[in-house]
Amino acid sequence: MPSSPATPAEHRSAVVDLIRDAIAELNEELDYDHLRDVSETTVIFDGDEALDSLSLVSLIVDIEARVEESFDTEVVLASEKAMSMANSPYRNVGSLVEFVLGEMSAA
Amino acid sequence: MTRTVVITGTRKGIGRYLSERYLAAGWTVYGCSRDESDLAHERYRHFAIDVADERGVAGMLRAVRREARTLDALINNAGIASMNAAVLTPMATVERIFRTNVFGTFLLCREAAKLMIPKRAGRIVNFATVATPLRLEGEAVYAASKAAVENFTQVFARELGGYNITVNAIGPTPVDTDLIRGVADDKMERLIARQCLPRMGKMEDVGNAVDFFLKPESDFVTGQVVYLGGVF
Repeated sequence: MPSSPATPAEHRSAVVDLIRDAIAELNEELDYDHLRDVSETTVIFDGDEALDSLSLVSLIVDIEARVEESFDTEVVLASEKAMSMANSPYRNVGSLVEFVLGEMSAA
Repeated sequence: MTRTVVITGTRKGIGRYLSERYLAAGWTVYGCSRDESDLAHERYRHFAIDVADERGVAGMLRAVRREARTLDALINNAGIASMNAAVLTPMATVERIFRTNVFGTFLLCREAAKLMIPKRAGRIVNFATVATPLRLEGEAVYAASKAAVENFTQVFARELGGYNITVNAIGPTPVDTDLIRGVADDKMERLIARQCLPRMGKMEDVGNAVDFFLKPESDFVTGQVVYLGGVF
């Protein structure tokens, strides 16, 4: 089991990579153009070019499992704001990274 | 390969019966109840948790993920009842019943689905009751909590249909367990008389209905509530 990176910046970077890997694996199935080159502004769940709810759930479930495997930290990525577009932590990669980091520090 | 099932409320009653039934059929069983269990079997693992405790439930399902790597079925059997006129029912009782019956069912469903979604397969069986369609007086809170379970079962069936996961419920008649031990004989007789098939339910009746939902050929059955004994 790899240990958590030493600095906050490295820790954040590891979470970004983890989410990027999860999206890449999901997109092997979906083959969406906008998910090919993932950055922190890549939209996940925010209107027309976003994931449908089935794919979003698959992605979040996968990220929970990856966080546990990579960081040995158990998180539940449930949010009251999940489906409200404006404040959803799932609206783009950057907001999801912050959400995951917040849940990891609270765990 | 052995199939894996999570069953709640396995220390006694129907949950214990179902655990032994599926162990005998070759399944690996992860069970739970508030207290420790004396069920000893090489394919049985017990968790002493409250089904309404989010951390406890998440921890149990994570153990299933680590050890079994997969989950084929969830049987949400854990439940509590309380016989009382609604006007005389303390709020603490209402909260206790909803915590176990509704919140517990929700938490187990949510965490189990996380193991089933990646493999696009799984079976969930929740527990309803004939008290709901019979509108049993003296069971208002219990019947209402199980009505919530029924509706949740059907919405969840819609949400998980795209992942090939079925979600159904079984509504047993009274079965001779601790749950009905406090019910007076004459009341029980009147209740049973309202069934098309007027007899007390048996553990095997419940096991048979659960078997149906779990069998491979039932992959086109979801969102259904099956009441035993001819109640509708």
